[in-house]
Amino acid sequence: MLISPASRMAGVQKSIIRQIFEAAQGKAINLGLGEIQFDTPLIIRELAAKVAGTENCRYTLNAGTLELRRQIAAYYEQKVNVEGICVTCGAAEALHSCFTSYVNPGDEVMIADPTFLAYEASIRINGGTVVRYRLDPEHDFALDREDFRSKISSKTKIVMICNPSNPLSKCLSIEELEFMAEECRKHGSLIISDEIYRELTYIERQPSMLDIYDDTIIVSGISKSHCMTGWRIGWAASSNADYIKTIVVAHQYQSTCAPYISQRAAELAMSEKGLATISEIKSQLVANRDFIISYFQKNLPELEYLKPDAAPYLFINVKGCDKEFSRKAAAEGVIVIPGSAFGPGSTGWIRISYALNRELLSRALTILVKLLTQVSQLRFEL
Amino acid sequence: MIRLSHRARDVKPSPTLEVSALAKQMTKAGIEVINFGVGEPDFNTPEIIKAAAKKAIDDNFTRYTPSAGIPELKQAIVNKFKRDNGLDYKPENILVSPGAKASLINVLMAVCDPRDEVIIPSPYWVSYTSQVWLCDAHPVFIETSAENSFKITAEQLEKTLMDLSNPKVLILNSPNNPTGAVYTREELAAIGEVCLKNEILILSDEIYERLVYDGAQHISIASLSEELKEITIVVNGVSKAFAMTGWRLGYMAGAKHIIQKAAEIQSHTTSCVNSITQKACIVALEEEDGSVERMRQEFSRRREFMVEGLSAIEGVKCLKPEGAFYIMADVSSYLTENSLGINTSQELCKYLLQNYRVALVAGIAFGVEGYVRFSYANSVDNIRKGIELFAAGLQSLRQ
Repeated sequence: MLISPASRMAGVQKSIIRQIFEAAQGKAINLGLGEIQFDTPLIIRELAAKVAGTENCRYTLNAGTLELRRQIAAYYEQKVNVEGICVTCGAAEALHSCFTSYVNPGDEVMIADPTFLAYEASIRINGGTVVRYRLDPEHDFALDREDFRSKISSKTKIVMICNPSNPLSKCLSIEELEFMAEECRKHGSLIISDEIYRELTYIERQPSMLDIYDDTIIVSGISKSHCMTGWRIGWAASSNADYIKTIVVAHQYQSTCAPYISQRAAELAMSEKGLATISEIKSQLVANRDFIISYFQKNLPELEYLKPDAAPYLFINVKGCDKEFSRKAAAEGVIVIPGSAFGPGSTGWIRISYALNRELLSRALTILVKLLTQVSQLRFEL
Repeated sequence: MIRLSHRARDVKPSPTLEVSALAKQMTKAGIEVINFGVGEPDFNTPEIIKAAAKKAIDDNFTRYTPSAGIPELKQAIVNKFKRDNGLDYKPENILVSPGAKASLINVLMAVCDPRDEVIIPSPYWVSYTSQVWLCDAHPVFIETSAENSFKITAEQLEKTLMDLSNPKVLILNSPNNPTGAVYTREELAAIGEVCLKNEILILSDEIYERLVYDGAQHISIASLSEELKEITIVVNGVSKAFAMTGWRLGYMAGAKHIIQKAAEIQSHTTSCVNSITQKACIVALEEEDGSVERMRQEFSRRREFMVEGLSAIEGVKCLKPEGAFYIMADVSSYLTENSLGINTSQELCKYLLQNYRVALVAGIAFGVEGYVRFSYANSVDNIRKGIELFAAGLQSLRQ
């Protein structure tokens, strides 16, 4: 006898990144992961080991330890208070809790095309309808304002922003943010701003959406900034604490609280001392970025890619079938993510991450350049 | 302010919050409160488990893992089901989640359509109902009472099913929170038969499995037959057995097509479980250092002590629970006639906390009036003192 799955599952699949991650066991070099493949800073690991050995690892408050929320509030320069923060098992859970709390079946949620692929699945699981607003590939994926204006309406419950963008590693300009805020204000829409890559920007750090629009929930965490993906610490934050109250309840029934040891480690990560460790991580990323870009310039000067404002992705135009290219690359031993996974608007592009050790990166680049050259020759012959 | 979703409006924070917030406030103000409200063991996590966590940190095992869990842990869970429950699963039948609560909601999300009905025996653990609402489904309750040891019968279930239009899931929790009831093999077999006949998924929450007393035996309903195994999702975790509440790890096993859907949901909702916790849990499940049994014996001792203390109070009735670490005490005789006009378990708990500094959870939080729940995850000294205060508090109502 087969108990049938819920209809909300129709069309929801394990994320492509996850599928690739799980397929990538073995020798393939993985440029597909949304993960900075460096070690967690030593001071954080040392503290965590001490906590594991000496402290009593019990449930914490559902919203997270007070100390961690204090540190996060300080990070946002007190524009949020401790009541306006809910610590979750990674930013993924914060995001899901936002959708659970604010999306009714049939509500429209606007997400960028292209954008991080987990949004669509999480919105669908919560019964929402996904509407995509266009980022223009012809203009470095800038916001297409006409398109945005034509899509937003009174049915738009939420506008989802990913800034800096995954997969583009590009920041929205202040003008773009203000434009979206104004449109949301007109239509009574909530903005959820995923700022998980905010600490890894190369350009001058952008304002948080908190500074621009009151009806905003920030989703963020320490996975990327501190190389702490496996620790599972993220948060939802808003200057209007009422927005967070419900998220705490949803989180309470989803996972109770984030892991104790990770929260204690995160207290250090978000302190002044912990935030200082980011500069070391960033300088490694900058070095890798410079390496990869100069490698392409030397070996494949005609290659078109998006100039990154932030780590850790390079978005490359392969001018053809991105899925086919990704499959070929995997067969050759390099995992990359096809752009179409992030939305139809970036078909023909691929996303690669350069946040891994130099030797692996260098080997992967040799393979990629070979493949990219083949692709362009093939087109030439055609 | 942007409107909440209907499900968020339906779901309320746990009704125990008012009393527990008050208890916290009092403790902070330096007032000593004896807390019988706690839902977690008061022991430390065993040393060998902590050592495994430290090693994982030292080894830099701090990255994303496969969302359903690392292969070694899934194998350890397969071994555990074989060893403890006589259940044969493959790693593909297993999903590791951040806590057993997450396991439960992942399954409910994976199988429940809006308006599907989820059957819950009452009294029930507070989170079940809220989780069902969050999945847009409807909870349906089957009342139990002390006369039938707080257990539902197959007949009751059958009768309830006749009135339902979209029954989908039965949540079974044995050993039970809050009553401590443990279902026998025969009782489970009868219930299982009804579920098979009506194509109901059994969500079997076995988180208190290791905490049974007086020779009571924990039986997993999935182990009774191949057919039952097919329609049962067994949920378990390390929080209660190994005193690991803060580590956040639950797991479940069941038919592949459901586990896979639940895993897909999880890949989008929480991605994966803390990598360090996963390593620590391999040791918890694979290496026995005797600490679980020591904790169980200590719980058993406290249980004797508490049952004796409570039974000695005039007008208070309680069963001797066979499992978990809770006692439901019947205080209804104090709620009907008293000088202070206290008529509900909620009011009583507030009164006892404010005036006698004993924190309890009101029965109504578990769906039943006239009871209060004691947790004996507390020292014998505190249990002695707390029961004295509780008795004095009740006495004061009759003056």
